Amino acid sequence: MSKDPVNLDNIYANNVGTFAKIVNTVLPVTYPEKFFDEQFDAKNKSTFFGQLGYFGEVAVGGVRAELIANKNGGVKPAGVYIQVLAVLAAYRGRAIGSRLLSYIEEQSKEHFQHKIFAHVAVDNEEGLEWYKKHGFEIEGLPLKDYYKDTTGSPDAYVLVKQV
Amino acid sequence: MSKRRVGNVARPNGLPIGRSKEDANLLEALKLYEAKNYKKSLKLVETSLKKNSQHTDSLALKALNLYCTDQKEEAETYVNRALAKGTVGGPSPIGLHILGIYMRNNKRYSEAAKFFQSSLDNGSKNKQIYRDLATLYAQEHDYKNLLRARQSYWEEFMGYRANWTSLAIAHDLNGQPQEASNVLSKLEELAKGKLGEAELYEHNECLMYKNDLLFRAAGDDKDKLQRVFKHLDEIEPEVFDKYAWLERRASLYMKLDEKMNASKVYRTLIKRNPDNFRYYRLLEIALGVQNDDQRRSILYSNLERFYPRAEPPKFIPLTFIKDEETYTQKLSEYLLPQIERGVPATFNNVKPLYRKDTERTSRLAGKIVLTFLANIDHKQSPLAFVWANYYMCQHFMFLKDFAKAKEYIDAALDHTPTMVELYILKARVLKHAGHLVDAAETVNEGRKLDLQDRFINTKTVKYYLRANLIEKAVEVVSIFTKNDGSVNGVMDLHLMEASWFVGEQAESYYRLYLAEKQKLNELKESDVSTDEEAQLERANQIRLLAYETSKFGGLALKRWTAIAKFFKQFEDDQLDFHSYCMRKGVPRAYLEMYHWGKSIFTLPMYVRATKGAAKLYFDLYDSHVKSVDDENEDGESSLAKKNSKKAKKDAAALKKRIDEDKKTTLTVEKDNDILGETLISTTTPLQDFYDNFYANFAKEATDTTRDFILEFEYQLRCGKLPLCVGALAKFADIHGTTNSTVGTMVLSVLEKIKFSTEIDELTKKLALKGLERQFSSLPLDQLENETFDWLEYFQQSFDAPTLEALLLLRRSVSQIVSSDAVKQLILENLGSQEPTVQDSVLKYQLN
Repeated sequence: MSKDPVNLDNIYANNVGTFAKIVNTVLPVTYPEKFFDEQFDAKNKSTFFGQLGYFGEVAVGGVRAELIANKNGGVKPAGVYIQVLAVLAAYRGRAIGSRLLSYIEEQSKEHFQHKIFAHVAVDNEEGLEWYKKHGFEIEGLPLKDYYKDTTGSPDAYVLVKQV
Repeated sequence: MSKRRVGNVARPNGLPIGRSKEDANLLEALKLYEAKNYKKSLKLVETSLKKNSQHTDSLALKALNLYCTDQKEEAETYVNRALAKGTVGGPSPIGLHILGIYMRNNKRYSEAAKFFQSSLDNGSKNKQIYRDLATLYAQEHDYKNLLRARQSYWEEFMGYRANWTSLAIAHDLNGQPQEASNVLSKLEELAKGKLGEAELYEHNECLMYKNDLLFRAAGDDKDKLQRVFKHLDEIEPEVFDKYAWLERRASLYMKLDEKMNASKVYRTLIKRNPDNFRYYRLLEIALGVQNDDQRRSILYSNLERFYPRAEPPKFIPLTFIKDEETYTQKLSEYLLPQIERGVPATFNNVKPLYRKDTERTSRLAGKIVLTFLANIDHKQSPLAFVWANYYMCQHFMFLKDFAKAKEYIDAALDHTPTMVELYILKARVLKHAGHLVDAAETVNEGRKLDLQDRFINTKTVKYYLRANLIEKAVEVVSIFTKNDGSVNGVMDLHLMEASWFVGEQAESYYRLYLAEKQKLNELKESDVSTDEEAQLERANQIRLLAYETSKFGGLALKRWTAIAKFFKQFEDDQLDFHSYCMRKGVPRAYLEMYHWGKSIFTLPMYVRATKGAAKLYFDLYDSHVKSVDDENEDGESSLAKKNSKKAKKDAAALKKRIDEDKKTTLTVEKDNDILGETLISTTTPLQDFYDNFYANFAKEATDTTRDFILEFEYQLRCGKLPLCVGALAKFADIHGTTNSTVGTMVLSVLEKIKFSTEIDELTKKLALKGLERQFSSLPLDQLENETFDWLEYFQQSFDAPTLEALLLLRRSVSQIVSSDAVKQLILENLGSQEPTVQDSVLKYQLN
């Protein structure tokens, strides 16, 4: 194929189910419906960045991040926090994840943020490897019992990338 | 869509001089009516009637105004009063015209035609009536009168092209293509050189239509065909529809036996549209190679080079190649590129080949795709991997190996869970394996991927209905419907005439009806406890179940009846086209619609509704189900009084439930039989079935569209045994005299002859004679022999019974052969059926 088969597009209220499907297939954590709906809840004041990654016309990966401004001085440090980033196993190695990540990086710059955070389960070696390759570093000690509804390890590392 | 016509009535002519005050008022009122001021018009008419209550024309106009303001019953009484007058002092031509319009609004077309006609016969000068009259005759398929009306109108108003076209079509319908073409020729002469830009399309259609007429009139006459040819050449520059023009040219060459020339035209057509399979077939015939596989192969390999992107040259050779090696190669060349490209319909494209030679195609195609699947890497070419698995799933589904089918679709879903098609296919597999609820949930899972996808939405609805989960189905379907003024989309779907939904819902209700009825019967047969509390509870349960049974049955009939109404509406909707198509100048399209319109009651959806309703009506007839209420009245009355508090509570709960049910099942506003209670409590089920469904079907069914089993079952219940034998004979003509269904029918008739007390001896004799003629070896002499084993005879003299035949036997025979023995045979037969059929028979047809 001469044309690049990989494309990105927004997540819409109508196809958020596809995004949910990818996330819940790839990650051992089960995310509730509420998590996916909050992006389209008019009452929710948070800023989300979400994209679906397509191979051909099939959605195979997705990312969602939240902008955390430091105004309120909450527990979380200011920056952009990647809530989920997932690509179906069979479609890895096609730079779909990188494209999704660079989308988040662009958004971070546009919103004047210099730090991107992510949580990765301590037993997710492939994930840790991937984040490190893309310029993330582990920060501090693993968080104990971070994930609730999961089949994998409940502990998570915090990863950070400066942009 | 049907916009009700209001009718343009009468002009103030045809009135005697020195008219009365009433007549003057009438004209005034007519003007108001035409301006759609029905209420004012009504008022004015009423003042006239106050003075002269016998003024017929005023009575008629009052009726029409009442009709237009939705007071239909009152309107009818005034019409009757107007009609009661007879000829003396009866309606004037204007009055007759008004009555005609009333009848037309009322869809009583033949009566309307009568009134229009007599308005004209009685001296109405309003010649416009001829046009309305013609549309009515067209609607009624009364060709002779149609021609007369068209002719009269044409004579009055020659200045309109539409009138010439209408006249030509009327001639055509009367089997006079030559006269029709003469009319068109005359018009052409008159119109020559006077056509504006806007009229060119209409003109082109009329020219092509004239060529159609000439072609049909020519028959096989060579000279005439030559003249048609000449005409075709003459009109060429003016014709827009080049396909029709070329197709006509080719068929003329074929008829004139100039095959070489015909083949050239077919090649031109293929060049214009290389994906039309028909042109390839016709090209084969023109070249005379249709029976020569070798030359066909050469032809198609050449065509494939010319049109590498076209489908037919690749596919057609697969239908005739015998050599296995070549076949494998060609099949592989056909299948694999499609799978690689991700064509979802790949399997459906080759399904005809699977049907034609299941063994060979499934063996070879299965091998090709499996080899392909084994040699690709699921990460390198992920989509091809998915589509190959998708194909293999359908492959095994065709072979009814549902476990294998499920393996492949699961592999595809594990790999790529974001493709809607995969969920639909998985649901299909589950459905065939008998897991209806799982199937519905699976397709619903796919639906959630993309809520905007209307296709998967309707699929989900259908699967929910198949699983009898009506509430969920309605909830899902309502996402896409207009729901103002209603709690869900059911009303909108009725307005949109969505037969697919209404029909599936009917079938769902029918299954629930059967299930509830069975529960009810079981409860009624169960032992009655001596404990008063328990008795009361039991009575309440029975009442509830009885309600549910009658509700589901009523709703099933209600939905099926709605479909019958849709089709009647389709028929009525044609009325507007008899004049509209003429004005638009599209005679060819009009005639196509007109012929289609003559068989709408044999279209699959109507037949399905008819058969569905038949099952329920026959069931009502067979079990003489009385209305639910009087069945348990005796049971509850004595007890209810004793413990009235609980009874009252229960009654209130039931009432609440009924109100709730009515809200969710409403189909049209102001319905007084929302749950179909009136329909289900009928005392004349066979008559109702005939009036609402069967009459229209029987009227339009031809020998190819008749349903002999349905006809047989209906006539059997009507006791018209000779007609049963007739249907049986026709069925045997098609399926052979040893067909097991034929055997079932024979036994059913014999049972009636032997046991029925309602059927008179003469009828029985006639039926016997008929049977004797059809089956010389039938042991009729054993009919009085009580020990003769008819089941054994059935099994020995007819083919191994099909499930269909056994179920028919179970429905119509109970004495001549024991029901238990038939049940046993059905159970044995079920072993070889697919799970979903087993389930539905066990659940719904064996109780």
